[in-house]
Amino acid sequence: MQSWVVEFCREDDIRRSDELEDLMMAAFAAFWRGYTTEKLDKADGLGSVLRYLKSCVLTEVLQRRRKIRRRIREHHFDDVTSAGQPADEAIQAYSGQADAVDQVVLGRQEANHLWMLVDSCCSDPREHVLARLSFVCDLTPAMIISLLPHEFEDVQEIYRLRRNLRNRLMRNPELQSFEDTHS
Amino acid sequence: MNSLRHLYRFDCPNAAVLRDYVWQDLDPATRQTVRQHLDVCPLCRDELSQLEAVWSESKPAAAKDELSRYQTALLRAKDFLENVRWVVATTVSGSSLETAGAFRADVHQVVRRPWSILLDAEETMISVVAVPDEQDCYTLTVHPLADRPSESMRCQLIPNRQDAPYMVADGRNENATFLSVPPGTTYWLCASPNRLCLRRA
Repeated sequence: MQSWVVEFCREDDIRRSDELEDLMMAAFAAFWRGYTTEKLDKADGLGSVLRYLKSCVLTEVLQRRRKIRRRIREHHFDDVTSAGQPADEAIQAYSGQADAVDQVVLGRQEANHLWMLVDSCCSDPREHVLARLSFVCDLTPAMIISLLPHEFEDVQEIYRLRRNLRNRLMRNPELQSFEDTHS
Repeated sequence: MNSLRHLYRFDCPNAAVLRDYVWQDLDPATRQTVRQHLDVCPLCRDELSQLEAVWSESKPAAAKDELSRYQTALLRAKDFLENVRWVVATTVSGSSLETAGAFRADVHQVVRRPWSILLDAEETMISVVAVPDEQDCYTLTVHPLADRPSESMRCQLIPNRQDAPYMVADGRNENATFLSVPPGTTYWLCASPNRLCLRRA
């Protein structure tokens, strides 16, 4: 199981052995929750059971990777306005920290509301796509152009559109108010 | 615009939901929601492909040979179709070289080397070669087996249960059986997610 974790993890993901242990425990827990007797009846051998366990390991790794990326992103945003700790330390400080359910739910509600505000500022479908890939998926212009080579002319155009969109967002009173409330 | 940081993957389904999607453990409504999300989220698509890779690996030994043969075929078809979406081809007999149609490689990454498919048209082996030009368009040419290029791909024609025959690329399987394809008939070569199809136009 440990070899699976190592296989799925990139170097920056797992830094300490106790995190590795945590991941394995979480994967086992997910396995026991998800591997029902119906699945066991349908299983065509040990291989099938192990594949599900491996899926659970990967699931935990992916979920953890998301959290780390989110933390890094927040850190980068913090850096814009204040002298924050180095990203590396931010990740270390974050590791092992569990999300409270209420925080997750509230965060999601706020994000939904925020996305509706951002979406309302997009003037055409291309901007909508750009807003989603930039702000939700956190892709760079280079990544976006490689993903959608026929949607945008070049990287410069993406930079320009994104700058225009950001300026428009900054002028939006509702977004300003959201910003003031959550800053 | 600090608040934008809250948007990071705010509506992505949990990775466990993606796992359940792969293992077909979701109810139809949730499955549909996840499918719609996958259409717009490259990050979830990437994670899904990792989960699918685990799901499909190490199948039990009994089915392994058959599966690996089939998967090899599908992978080759998929590899080809990375660059091809829609092709209209006219199968011909005889020795003349004909341009049978053209197709665009939009949305997909372009591989700058020719690909070919072999078809069997009533005992006349012909090859269909797709070569990208400078505009990244492809010209489809058909010529007899004698002129077969060194790089070619054998295909197996398998009868479709319902309507037109379809074709699955079969790697280097020398025992592949072929359906006869009437010469001069126009077919659509089309891409389904993991299958290369040949349909009567």
